Amino acid sequence: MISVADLIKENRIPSNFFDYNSYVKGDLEIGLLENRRGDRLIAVPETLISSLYAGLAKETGQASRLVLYNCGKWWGKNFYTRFTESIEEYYSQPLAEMDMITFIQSLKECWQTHGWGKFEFDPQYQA
Amino acid sequence: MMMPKIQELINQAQDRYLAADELGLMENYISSLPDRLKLYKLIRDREIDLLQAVANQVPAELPNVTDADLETGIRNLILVLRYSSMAMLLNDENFLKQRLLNWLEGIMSMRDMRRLNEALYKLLNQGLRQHFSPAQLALIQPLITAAQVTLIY
Repeated sequence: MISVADLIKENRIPSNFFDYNSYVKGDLEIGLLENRRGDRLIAVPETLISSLYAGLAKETGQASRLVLYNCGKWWGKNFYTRFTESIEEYYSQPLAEMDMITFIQSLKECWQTHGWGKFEFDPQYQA
Repeated sequence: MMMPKIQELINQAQDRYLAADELGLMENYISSLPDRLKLYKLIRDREIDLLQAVANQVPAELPNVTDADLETGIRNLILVLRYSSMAMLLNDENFLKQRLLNWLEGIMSMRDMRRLNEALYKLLNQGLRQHFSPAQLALIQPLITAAQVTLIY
């Protein structure tokens, strides 16, 4: 027999950490964007991104791929740390104990809420 | 739904006074607020009783259900009831759909919770009918049904 009172003892049932409405906070007057933990967010126009690529290619030529690879690796490492910290804190649960669905679903929502698009997880190569 | 509509009316009122039918819309919502608030508080206060009764009856419907699955199911049902109550208060079905149902749908699609959910919603609906008046049901039931339809079918 399960006890509902026990389930809601903490009076907080986590759902979707990356829900857009709760996640993105902004102040138009001071021009700041923050996420729900108070970390800074930045909005970047597409033109800037394509200019960075173009500028990099011009400055570093052949090496630009290596630079981008290292940027991506560095970003990914830091992203993963931030991401896991956020959801571990939100679900009050270490990552190792979290179920796979919550993890993947959170990652998808995270992607979408940051404006990076939708992705589908392909479990084909899952060990 | 109502809140976005009222937001739109407020924007309209920057250029002109609102017409009678527009004000009527606003008046309808505002005059329904005491009932909505009352129901919101009732659901909040009866949450545990309502959902404990659901949890107690599930094993009779599904003898093989594990405690872990039942806990997950009930936890999601708590969320649905909480978001539905807020959506009822705001008269905004999208509050429930955008903030919770999209998320739960993703979670459920990867796990076979269909039979458990069917039992949970059947029992929850029975409980709601026992605890609330027809007028109150008319406010909350459409939202619960929206969740049920999204998550089961």
